[in-house]
Amino acid sequence: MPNLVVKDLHASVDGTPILKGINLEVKEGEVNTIMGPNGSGKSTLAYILMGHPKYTIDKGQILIDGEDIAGLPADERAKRGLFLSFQYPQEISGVTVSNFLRTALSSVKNEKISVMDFKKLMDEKLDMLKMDHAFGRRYLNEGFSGGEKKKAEILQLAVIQPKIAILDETDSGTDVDALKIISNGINVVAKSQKMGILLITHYDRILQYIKTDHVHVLVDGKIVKSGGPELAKQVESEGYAPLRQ
Amino acid sequence: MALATSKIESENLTEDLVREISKEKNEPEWLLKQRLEAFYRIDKIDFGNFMYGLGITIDASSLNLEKINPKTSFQNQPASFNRADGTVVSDLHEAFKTHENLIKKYLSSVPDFENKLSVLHDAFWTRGLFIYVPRGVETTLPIKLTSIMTKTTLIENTLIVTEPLSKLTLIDVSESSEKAYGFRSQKIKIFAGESSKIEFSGFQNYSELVANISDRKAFLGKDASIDWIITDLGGSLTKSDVTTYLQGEGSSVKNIGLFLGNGNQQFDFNVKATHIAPHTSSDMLTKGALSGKSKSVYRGYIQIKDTASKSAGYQKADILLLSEDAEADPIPNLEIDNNDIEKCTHGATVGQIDRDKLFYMMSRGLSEKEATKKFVEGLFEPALSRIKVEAIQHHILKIIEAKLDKVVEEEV
Repeated sequence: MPNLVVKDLHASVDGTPILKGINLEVKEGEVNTIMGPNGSGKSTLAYILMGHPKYTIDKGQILIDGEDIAGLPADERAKRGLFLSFQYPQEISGVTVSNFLRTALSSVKNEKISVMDFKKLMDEKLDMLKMDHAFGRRYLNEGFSGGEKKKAEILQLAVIQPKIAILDETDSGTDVDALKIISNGINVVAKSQKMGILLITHYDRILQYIKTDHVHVLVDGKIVKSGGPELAKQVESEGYAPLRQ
Repeated sequence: MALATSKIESENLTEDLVREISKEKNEPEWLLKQRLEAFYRIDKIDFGNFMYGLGITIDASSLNLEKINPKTSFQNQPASFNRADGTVVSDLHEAFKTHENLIKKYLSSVPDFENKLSVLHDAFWTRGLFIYVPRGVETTLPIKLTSIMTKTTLIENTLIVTEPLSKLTLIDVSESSEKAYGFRSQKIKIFAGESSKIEFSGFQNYSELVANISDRKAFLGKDASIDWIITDLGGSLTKSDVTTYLQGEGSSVKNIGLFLGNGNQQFDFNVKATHIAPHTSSDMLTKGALSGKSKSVYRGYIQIKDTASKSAGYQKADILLLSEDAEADPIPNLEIDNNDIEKCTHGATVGQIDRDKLFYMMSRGLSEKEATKKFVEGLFEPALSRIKVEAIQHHILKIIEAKLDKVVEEEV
């Protein structure tokens, strides 16, 4: 049974329609990639799936393991296994990465985690992402470089280990070295968890490192074409113009 | 009680009592004179801008001046010690025996007949503390002052003198049981000698039945610096003032003010820097969160006098409203009388926690309440991380966490 199913999803912001009937299936262990020009609604789709209160769902369903989560707040979605790696992660002043992530993990797992056990888990994941152990003591995203922010998102992914991860432009703002490390981190977590991935990207750069099973092209709030990995290459060489009606 | 009326009808607050306190404490004549001068002004002077914001007025009805009874806290400060390095921490009246000239010099240098509450304090204070750090002495361990409200009236004066090239770290904790009630007035005057450095951390967590008036002033000599972190959590009514006079060239002040309010708590904050000498700098940041029906007025004030060229001033206030009924009025103010300044900026915000920040935290599994609590906890991190004594840090963290639970519970 697929983990995430999106059925005929229509959504709007302040009365303006943004998503106009999205259908998607993300099965466990699979990578689905969404590509689209700027302003096509890619990031909005990510926000709506995760439950940003700014958007209104007008019609349709978001199912995780068969349960419709469209009416739930973001934290309840997280508890059901959904994760969003943000394109622009928020800075939370005065709250360390470790402190935040331990609270997050306790909430998602609904159990207390001892400081010692958590430290061990953190260090293991930091090593995987080739990050300094002292990173956990920094305030969440405050003063992080673009690459550090993206690494911190994948660190959270690795610690929380969700069933479904939405990765919103995880490749933007990173250099090639950071992208390799981040992609490797995603692949390791995905494999160990049989995690389903919804990868949102503007370019096919990240697809050199993360193998995609399906590619969908989003234009003006609708998926205009779906296909295999070859579709990403086609978009990269021909642009989006041929796909617009 | 209508605070607008200038007369306080009280059987307790009499000239006889002023004389009685002074006699009981064996005070020198000059000090009695100073008390009387203040006493005669009580009915003639008003409350200043206390209570009034631009858009809101705080409720000062819990300030029952008629019920003040200074006699309830007559006894001296118990903790006194002299360190081998010459540092003195002593009851102020006891210290007259050894340091009268010094105390006289400083206590009479700044008569501040500013408003009714200030002169009332100067007429009727009963408890005093004196801290003296000799030239070149650096206190390695912080000095912790604890003021516990056990009686219904507590009026206390603290005088701090740091001689040139000295260093002082102070932690001033004001607490009470949950049932304590009454009136507390605190004045702290700090005289920082040339190139001395002071770190002052104040934590106030009185019950929500105590009206608390705090007036802290620092006078900085050449190249001296003071770093204030003032945290106000308790009190039915809290008037919390911090004023720094940058008198010596190159002196500087940093000030972080933090507060949390819930229920019907009322706060009146005044944060001021007066730049008098050239090359002075001030940096003042106030952050707080209010829930329930709590209210705050914040007045920030940077004054750069014509004698203070090449100076820089910065102030900001960011206040979070966590409920529909909480109200805040931040009023930043600049007065610049010098054309040759480095920079001077001010700003203030009042609002809810950024929705995108909440969403980000919630997307990781934190409920809205947990996310709110975590975010506000983050505001207090600068105050906590500076307390390097683990036991004190732990104690204060517990207080803040308990308070946060209450505050977030009343979020609507």
